[in-house]
This record gives sequence, C-alpha cells and structure tokens, in this order.
Amino acid sequence: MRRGLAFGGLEFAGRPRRVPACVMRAGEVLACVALATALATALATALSAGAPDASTELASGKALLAGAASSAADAKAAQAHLQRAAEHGLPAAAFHLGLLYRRGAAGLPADKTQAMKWLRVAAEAELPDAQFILGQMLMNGEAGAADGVEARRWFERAAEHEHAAAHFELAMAYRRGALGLPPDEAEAQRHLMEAEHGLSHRAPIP
Amino acid sequence: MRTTHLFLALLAVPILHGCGGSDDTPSQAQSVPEGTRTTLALLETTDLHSNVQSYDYFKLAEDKSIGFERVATLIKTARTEFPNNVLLDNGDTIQGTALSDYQAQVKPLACSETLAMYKVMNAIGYDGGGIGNHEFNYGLPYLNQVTGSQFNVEGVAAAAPCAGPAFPQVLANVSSVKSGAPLFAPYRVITKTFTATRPDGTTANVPVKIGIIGFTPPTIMAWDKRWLDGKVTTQGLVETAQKYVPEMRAKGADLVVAISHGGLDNSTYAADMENGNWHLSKVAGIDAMLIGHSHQIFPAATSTVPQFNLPGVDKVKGTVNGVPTVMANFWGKHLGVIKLELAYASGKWTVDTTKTTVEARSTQNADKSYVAADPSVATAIAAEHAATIDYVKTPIGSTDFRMNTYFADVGDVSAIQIVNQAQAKYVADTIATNLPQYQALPVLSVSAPFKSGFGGGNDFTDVAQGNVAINNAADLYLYPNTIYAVKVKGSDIQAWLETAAKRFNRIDPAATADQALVSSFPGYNFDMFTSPDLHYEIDVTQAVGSRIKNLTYKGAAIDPNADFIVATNNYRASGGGSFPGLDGSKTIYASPDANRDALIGYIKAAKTLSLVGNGSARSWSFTKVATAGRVTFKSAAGQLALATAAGLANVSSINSDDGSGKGLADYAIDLSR
Repeated sequence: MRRGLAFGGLEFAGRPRRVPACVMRAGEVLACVALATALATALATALSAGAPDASTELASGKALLAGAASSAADAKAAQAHLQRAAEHGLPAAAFHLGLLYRRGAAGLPADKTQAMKWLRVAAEAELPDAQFILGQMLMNGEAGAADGVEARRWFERAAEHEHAAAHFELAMAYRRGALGLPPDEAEAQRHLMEAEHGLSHRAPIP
Repeated sequence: MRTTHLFLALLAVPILHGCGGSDDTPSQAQSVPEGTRTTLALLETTDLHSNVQSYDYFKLAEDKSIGFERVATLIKTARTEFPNNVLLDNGDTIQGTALSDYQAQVKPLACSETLAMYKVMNAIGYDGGGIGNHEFNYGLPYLNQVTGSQFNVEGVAAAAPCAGPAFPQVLANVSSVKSGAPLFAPYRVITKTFTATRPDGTTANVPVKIGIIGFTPPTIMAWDKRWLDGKVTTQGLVETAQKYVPEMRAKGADLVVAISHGGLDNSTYAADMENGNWHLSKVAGIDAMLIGHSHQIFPAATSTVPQFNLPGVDKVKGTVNGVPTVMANFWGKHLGVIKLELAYASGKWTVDTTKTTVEARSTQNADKSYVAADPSVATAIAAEHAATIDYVKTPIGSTDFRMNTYFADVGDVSAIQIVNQAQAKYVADTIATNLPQYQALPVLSVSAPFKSGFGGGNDFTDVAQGNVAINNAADLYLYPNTIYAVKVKGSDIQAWLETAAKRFNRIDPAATADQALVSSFPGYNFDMFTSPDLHYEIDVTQAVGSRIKNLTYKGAAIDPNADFIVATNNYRASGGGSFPGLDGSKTIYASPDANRDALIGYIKAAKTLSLVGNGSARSWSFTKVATAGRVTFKSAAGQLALATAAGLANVSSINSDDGSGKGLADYAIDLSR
C-alpha cells in the first residue's frame, strides 16, 4: 500500500488537483510526459497568479533540479524553493531537498547532515522513497556512525509501502545476517517475492 | 456437491421470483422461531497469484511456504470446525507464476479449458470471488475468457462464455465505457442453508442470504493503462458501496460482505485512491470486509504495519471502524476466518457482535513446519504443472562456453557479459523506439556477480556448455529486478566504479603474510562494465575512493562531463548500495520488464552464444603490483581450470578445502602479472 501517493497527489493553489501518475511501462512514457506537462501548466498558472504557495514552490524547485548540477543559480534557486515548500509541510519537498543536500550541486557542497535531517522529515511522513534513502545513509554511516538497526527499521517501513528496493535490501540482510538480523533464508525469499510483487505496481517518484 | 447446490440456488432465483438476486422463501423464513441462533465462518483466500502448488518454477524446487495446496488443507480443517461456512477469494488470483504465464501466453488456454487456478478452486468449492488488479494484467479478452464472462466492452467480441470458475465473481467499481454497466456482476446475494439452534435447543436448517460485493483498486487505470484506457472506467469504493449496499439489503441480504482488493488508508478520501477500505468500512450496512492486495496479515496484534495502526483500526480484534475485517497474506500462506454469530429476531438475522472473532491462520505450524498439502490439488493440475516445468526447461539457445562466476571477483566475465549485453540492447532499443532525446548518447551497462560464494561452494552461477533454458537464465540473473536506465556523467561512472571497488580489501604490497583480497562488501554491489569501449584498472593498494585508474572510453580518458546512459536495475537506480548520485533522480527509464526477461529475450534472439562474442570482454583488470606475500581469495573447490580457460593465468590454487565446511577452497592471485 502506498498512502496518498498512488496518483502523485500533488495539490496546486490550495485545491486538490490530481495529475496522472508517472507510471512507466513499455511504450508508455507518455504518462510521464503528461505528468511533466501538468506540472508545467500548474507552474505557469501559479506564477501568473503571482502568489506562489507551497505546492508551487515544490514544482518550481523540482523543475530547477535538472540544471542544478551545472548551474549554481539553478541549484541555489532549487534549494530555496524546496526549502520553503518543505517548511510548509510538503514531504515531497523535504525529500527532494534532502536528496539535493546529499548529492550536492553546482556551488552547493554536499551536506550529509542536512540531507539526513530533511530525508528524515519526509520519511516520518511515510514517503517510502525517503525511508529507503534514509536507510541507505544510516546503513553506510554517511552522516556519522553507521546504524544498521535503525537503517533496517526504515527499510521495514518502506517495505510496508511495497517499496521494492527496500524489500531487496531486507532480503539481502536476511540472507547475509546483516543489519542486526540473524541469517534466515526463508525470510530472504519472502522479501524477494515481495520485491518482485512491489515492482508490478510501482509508485511514481514523489 | 457444494458447488452444485449453490448453482441450483442461484439458477432458481429468477425462475421462482424473478426479482433479481433474491430467492426468499417465506415458508422457510417464517418457520424460523425468534431467538434461533446460528454460527458461521467467512473464509478468505487472497492474492493467490496462481500459486497452485508449493513450487518455485524458476528454481524447479518445492517451496512449502506457499501454494493453494496447503491453504486447501486449512480450508478443509476450518470447514470441519465451522460446518456453516462461506468460502470467498479476494482476487489477484490468475497471474503471478510461470504457470500463469504458460497458460496465458505460451500455450494459451482453449475456450473449453478451465484455468489451473480456477480448476482447483472449483474442486474445493468456492461460494464467490472478487477481482484484483492483477486480473487485468493479461488484458480484457483473456480475462473475459478465463472467467467465463461475456463482457460488453470494446475489444472483446461477443461469444458464448468459455469455461471458468464455478462460483460467482463480483466487481462493483469497474464499468465498461461501451455499455456504461459494470464489467462483472457488481454483487450477488447467495442463499446458504445453515444449521441453527432453536430456543428450545433443537436444531434446524435455515436459509441465510449472504450478499457479496467486490471492489478493485481504481489505480488499475494507471497500472494496466495499455489494456484498459478508453475501454473501462473505475469508480470510487465509497460511492459505489453507497449505491449498491441498500440494493443488496432490499433484495434480502441478511449479511453484506465486501470483498475488496486493497488495504487501509485514512488519508482524505478520493475516488481514485488505491487502498480505500478504511473509508469503505464507514459505509452503512457492511457487516464484514475481506481485504487484500497489500500482502499483509490482519489481524495481527504486534503488527507495525502503518495501515494497521490507524485510528479506528483494532489490530488485535480485527476490526476497522468496528467492522470485522481480515487480510490473509498472499500466495496461499494464510486463510482468513471471520466467525459470526447470528440471532433471529423480529423476522431477521442480526449479528451478535459480542461473539465475532477474526483471525488469519497460517499454513506454518508453531514448530516452523508447514501443514500437509491437500494431495487432490496437485493431482488436479498434474498436466499443467508438468507442461510448465517443460516450458521452463525448454532450450532457448546454446552456449559454447561454461558461464560461471567462480572467478568473477578476479576478472572472469563469462556469466556477466551476457547480462550486460542483454540490458544494453534492451535500453538501446527502448531509446530508439520511445526516447529519441537520448539517441545520441552511448548506452553502457553494468551488472554484478549475484552468486559469488557467500553461501559456500554451491553459491555460484554455473551454466554448462550446451543448451541454455529459461531456468538457466534464472541462474544467470538471480534476482527479480527490473531494468532501469540512468543518465550519468563520466565523473559519475568513475564514482560508481570507486564504490563497486569496495569489494576489495586494501592490499599492502610490502606485507609478507597472506592478505585476503575480497572484503565483506557484497558481491551484488560489485558492478562491472564488460564493454570493449570502456576500460579501467582497480588499484587495490589504494584507499577506497582512489582505486579506479586509467578509465578510458573508446581509447581516450573518459570526459568527466560527457553524458552516458547506463543500463542497470531498479535497486541500483533507486539508490540501493549508496552509489554516489544514484538516488532515483538520474533514472530516465523505469522498465516494467525484468532484467531476467530481457536476458531470456536476448538469448532467444542470439540463439548461439560464444566465448568470443559473449563471455570474454573484460573491461577491467587489477593494476599490476608486486606483493611480498600472497594475495588470496576463496572460490569453489577444484575449479582452477575455469580460471585458466578465462585467461586468468595469474590465479593459482592453494588448497582444495579452506576448512569452512562450505565447499570452498583458497586460491591466490599474482597481482604482478
């Protein structure tokens, strides 16, 4: 199950407006194009209205991410938009801000502490992609000492949302006896089955 | 026969009364004295996914943890305990194994044949079933055929119904665009004859009308867009239930049971929400919910699953906003059991809610063993099972070399290159067809030795020279990943390889004692390229992060700012293994197809695989360095000849048993050669 994420659940200008999911199947990239178009339209509408709200901030920030690696101006603007949206309580904005801090961008050195802070905000709001990346950071000790047990808890939470990669991570942990788990091949198999199933109906990136 | 009885009851409805769905028999009803009580059990299977037998078709081995043949045993036990029972399936029934693919796609089922899954369900006798999202995976004509339906929908020709389930299927929230009417019957009211106890203690047979209504996630429109777009529409659970439940009551339903394929979600209600059952539970008139889709167990007192820790959800008692609810896991691992006690008062049956119990029963016993399989199940589908195994063993090509990972850690690519070739071709083809904006970019691929000895000497990929079959493809690509393509810079490739090179310990050339080459970094994260265009060295004398040397693309140092497309899997592209910059943001294509299926397709097209063309393109080697002591690693015992065959002349055997008892031996690699 994926609470509230199935269709993106993006809200614009204070009224709920659902846009098509970016669910990609063979030959169906059009769904994603439709999503991008919907975002661009919403963005243009909001900008012309002159009063950007949190959702608009998120859309603006996401749109700028593509250029953030090479343009310091884009990176700075993306960060500012995402931060405002995240501070207004949009978990997707916290997620993208966290990723931006983790990757770093032009003129914006990676800051793993900030990355973990914002990913944790998104993860607490039950964004499985954020839970998975937060787990990765904890597993690898990217912002301090590695904490396999806490990493596993986040993978488990993401897995409860049918996050395939989280199930895969848990399968490997059970197979190898990692992340504080005893080796358990049956559990490893179960998580591989779940990973396979999760891949059959994926959520779009928030 | 139960099925026959049910069918006669259903057939009798319009003949006797002609009032659609009700077969009230006043004489019987009036003969039930006030205060008569009866106990019944609603039994649920869900998400069976065509796992009829306890069997893994890719491994060609038994898997006792799954399979309808074991939940069938639980059903029989429950029926002994509760002679008054109603057996219902929640959907996601006809898709999910090599058996279902075989029947749908390899040797399509004839109209006169019943699907293996439905065959065994018919034999045990179901009272009804719902429709899950995966029922739509093979398209509407197939669904119409195997369910014995007569869909009035675009793309399905009118014809006599084919063989199908001998029980009614209900689905209320999917409608045909063409007819505007629901694709399946939205609900049915079925009459069961139950034994009851009169107030004077005597027993009687009484009719009880069970209304069943089905729902599927409205999100099928995105998931199976290619089959459904423009042909059907979905409706929200709540408004659909509000429309039909009063109708069911009006037609005499004593009980209304929602068979809803989905989980629980208390976020703001939307007609397109995937898991609408928290809201559905609040629709007046629903006595019980059989749910599924999430592959979880409910009730479960200690569950940490967020959907079972919502307000209004009692994970101990098994209620959602007071409505008894069960979710019976998946693949035949559990049976859902809702026990209801009914009392007859004021001319109608009422649930005595103080007596309701809900449980999900596991096929696994307390001692971790599993209940015995019901032998009649395997017997019933013996031919289909055997045909599926034959299909999995059918040669899809041949190889002139032994494809193995015994020496993948030290450079052999005999089992890696074919995976990279298949992935790169799949992505290149996709770009050519659908993503013209990337057409100018080089397409590379990475893969890793998934089986690299962690579990011992048997935990290596090893496909013999000769015929290659589908089950060999599962050895070459062990995990159920799907293909993803990412767009990265040359600098990202360098960083990617630096992370992969964590596979090795740092080697001190001056140390005279033996040094183990391979670290605890997992083999599935040891990504490698196998392209004649790309070359690099791994210098294991350097610290992590500074090991990749002489990375070249087409003979020149790689341009850190050049763009590349790299084919990989969903785990890596989504951020698995913490490879720098890979966090989902670089994904340009998320394929629905499994890496393993792309590999099967590639081998089928290539027909013959050769060492020259498919197993020897080493993109990497160790930076040459003389070491004072031995550099050692482990592999399966007695396989040195394979290293030699792969051209790894610097590998030697130290012993034939490393003493671990796991079938491993010690080998050495001379890094100066």
